[in-house]
Amino acid sequence: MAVHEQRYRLSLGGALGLTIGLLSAGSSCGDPVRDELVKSLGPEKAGVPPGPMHRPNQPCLACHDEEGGEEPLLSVGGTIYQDPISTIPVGDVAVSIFDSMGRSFVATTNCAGNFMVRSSEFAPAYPIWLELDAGKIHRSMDTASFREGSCAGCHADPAGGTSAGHVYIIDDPMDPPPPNPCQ
Amino acid sequence: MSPMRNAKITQLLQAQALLVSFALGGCQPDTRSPNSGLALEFPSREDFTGPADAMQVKCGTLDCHGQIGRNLRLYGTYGMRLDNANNPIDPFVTSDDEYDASYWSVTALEPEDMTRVLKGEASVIDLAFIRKPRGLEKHKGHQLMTKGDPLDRCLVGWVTGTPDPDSCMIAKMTGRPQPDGGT
Repeated sequence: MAVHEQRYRLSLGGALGLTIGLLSAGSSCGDPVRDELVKSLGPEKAGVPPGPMHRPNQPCLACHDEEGGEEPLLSVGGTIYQDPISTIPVGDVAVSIFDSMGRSFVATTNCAGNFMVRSSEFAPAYPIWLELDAGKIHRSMDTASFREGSCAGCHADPAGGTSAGHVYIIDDPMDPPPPNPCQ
Repeated sequence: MSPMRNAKITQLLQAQALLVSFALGGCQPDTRSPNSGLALEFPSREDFTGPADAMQVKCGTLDCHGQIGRNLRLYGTYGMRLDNANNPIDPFVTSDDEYDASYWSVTALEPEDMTRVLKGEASVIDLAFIRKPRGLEKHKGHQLMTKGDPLDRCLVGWVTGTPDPDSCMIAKMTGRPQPDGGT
């Protein structure tokens, strides 16, 4: 009988240890890379509340995907500017997204230059190809995106060895600007 | 204590000692040279330009292997640049230094297996370099080629010492696939 009691106590101790271990493991299941990325984005800009106009040219999906958990959940999002030098946002640009299953979806930029695709509207199968139309100007991305739904994931400023710089409509700032209902 | 009980205790101790020796044996570092007796040989650098250009478009974008966080790093005009003064598409040419850097990155992944494949002593699917894009092994970038398609022929040709520049030329074409099957 005494032996049985000892075994029972050990078993409880083991269960307690296992529970504590699992809880500790669970509490450290965050993604430090994502946490660091979100932290690096800083606070909201004064006067621009969270919403469709906020945080232009930041990686939308850092927060707005399933892991980030911020509503609305997005599958693709980004910001379109006029040219490679300026950061004049261009509104009313049609952003066409083509996925590897032959499906497509068109989103339109707002006056912050932001466009977004809700996951509930279109969840593309990668790779995806993006094309822009602003008036008579048409641009296509040179390469596909193989996993990144945030334009700024590869197109953050400044341009350099590991970033293409912001997305723009015209190559030469001296060329006639695209139609922009927000200017 | 009875002789039988003594014998049982001895047997138990022997079994425990055996288990401990097995366990400790498993903890010893493997100090054998991974390539002992194997003279390393790599596929040709001279013939690497075609595969490198094809991989640039299909594997080396900034959201995939065009990142410094990857074991397989690819450098070039559609992705990460070796010189941080450059940026993707500017200059619109992959430099010799970038081809060299990508070459050493690819060949350093599995040097012994790559040597055996080149010598005809192992199958191409012994290389993660082939298994992953074929989708035979977990690959975050999903399946990118099927056996016998242009990218596959390009990479397999190069690692087996029978380069196929025509397939590489097709594989490096950019742009989204068109409904008629072209690019």
